[in-house]
Amino acid sequence: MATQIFPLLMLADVDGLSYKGFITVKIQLENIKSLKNAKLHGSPELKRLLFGHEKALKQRLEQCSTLTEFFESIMTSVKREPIPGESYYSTLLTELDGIGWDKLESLDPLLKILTLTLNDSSGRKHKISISLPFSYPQKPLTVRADLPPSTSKIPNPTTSFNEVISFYLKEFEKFQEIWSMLDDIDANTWVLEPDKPKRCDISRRIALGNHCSLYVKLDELNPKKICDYTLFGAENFIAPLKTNLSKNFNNWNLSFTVRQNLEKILEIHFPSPETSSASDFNVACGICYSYRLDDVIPDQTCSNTKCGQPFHQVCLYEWLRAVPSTTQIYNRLRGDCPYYNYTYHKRQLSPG
Amino acid sequence: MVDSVARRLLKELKDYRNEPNPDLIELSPISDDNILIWNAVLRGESDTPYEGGQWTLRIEVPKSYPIHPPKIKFLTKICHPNISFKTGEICLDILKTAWSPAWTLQSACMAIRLLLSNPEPTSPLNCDAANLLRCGDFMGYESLVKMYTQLHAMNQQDNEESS
Repeated sequence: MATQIFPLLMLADVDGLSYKGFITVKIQLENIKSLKNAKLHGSPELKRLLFGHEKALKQRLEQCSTLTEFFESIMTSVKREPIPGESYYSTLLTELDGIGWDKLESLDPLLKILTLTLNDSSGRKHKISISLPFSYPQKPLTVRADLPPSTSKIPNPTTSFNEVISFYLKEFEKFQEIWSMLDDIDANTWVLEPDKPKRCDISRRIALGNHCSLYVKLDELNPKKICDYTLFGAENFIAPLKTNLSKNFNNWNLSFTVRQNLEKILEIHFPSPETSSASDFNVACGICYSYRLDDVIPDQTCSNTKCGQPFHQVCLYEWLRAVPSTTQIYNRLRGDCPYYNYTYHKRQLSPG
Repeated sequence: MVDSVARRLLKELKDYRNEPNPDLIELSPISDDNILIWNAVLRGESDTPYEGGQWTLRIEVPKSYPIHPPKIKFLTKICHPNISFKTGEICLDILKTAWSPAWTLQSACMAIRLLLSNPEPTSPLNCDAANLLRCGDFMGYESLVKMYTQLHAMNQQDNEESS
């Protein structure tokens, strides 16, 4: 009978008094009809699984009339998630009452992870996610938030939601200026990377047109300045921009936004989403037609300004290698641009 | 590499579907399982003996596409000095040595369409058609082409409509 529902459970002796199963449960019955005073032997694994449920098991052994019934109840104990501590739910409710339920964005079905939405002083919405341990509030909670790298760590241990919120509201204030700089860039330029900027991203790749782009990283300590920049694109097109950059860099004016400063220094206007469309910045590789190929972006360009077509180094190498007219001088391949038949230089990849 | 071929082909398919080309009635893979074999249907240019005809092309894309050109041939019979009447093979430089990744399946098909009205009788695959042109018998050439257009490229359309 028991073996029908638990096919891996087998009689271990001829008397029908002990059973052995897949998880190596051994039950010693006092008599066949009742489970009273029966003994349960298990492997160390099972012991660990049932740890903390000894009382309940004993109770069940007494209550259950058949072995099958008992095993079913063990199965539910084994399968069940660990149970949160006694004061878990009451503390959770009190905390949520304390911060106001309107801040609660979502809650997982196990009531273990909750997402809160907070507004900073400029009205930006931020989501923070709080995970609670089973032994909450004895053990501290953990928080994840979308903030730039220089964020300080939340003091440990923290148990109160109010502490979490006031800590993060203070943190948000630290980044107000950098976020307004980044928002200004996002609103007025075509940002190629990151795809969908998050609050923790402090760098942007801005489309300049003609397949060129400018990568800038803002300075967290000095949000109105940039700490890193790179110009990508055809040499002929970006050379004058580089000249402008070195010529005008000292004129960086802290009373303007980063974008305004960049435009003044480069002596250009960034193409804005209002006056141009995404297809104007075809930055995809001219050979494989994709932007990211194994996470590499097209970094080679046709040296002719009228063309400026970008390519992945790998794709271009494949193409130049396949064309008979390609010549190799030292470690450079020289061949025709697939698009406009203009001479193109490319460094050869390392052999192999 | 196959992955990036598929990605490029899907992009080409999307571009074609976003901006349908009236001269290229159809351009799509013949089945969902294999993106490397396509069918295209060309419409003959007006004011040429090919006017009113529709030709089906079979495109076989190599795994090394777009480094290497696609293999394109006519499935519908066509009379043209640079296209084999028997096999549908096309003699066109961009499908061989002059290929470049800047071409797409669509632009290659359009180049083939352009070849129809700009035959090159000095390198023929169809000597009979080429000889007429080389002798300067344009009227004879045009009526020959018109006949085959009516015979094969218009019947096909009728067949498609009736089926």
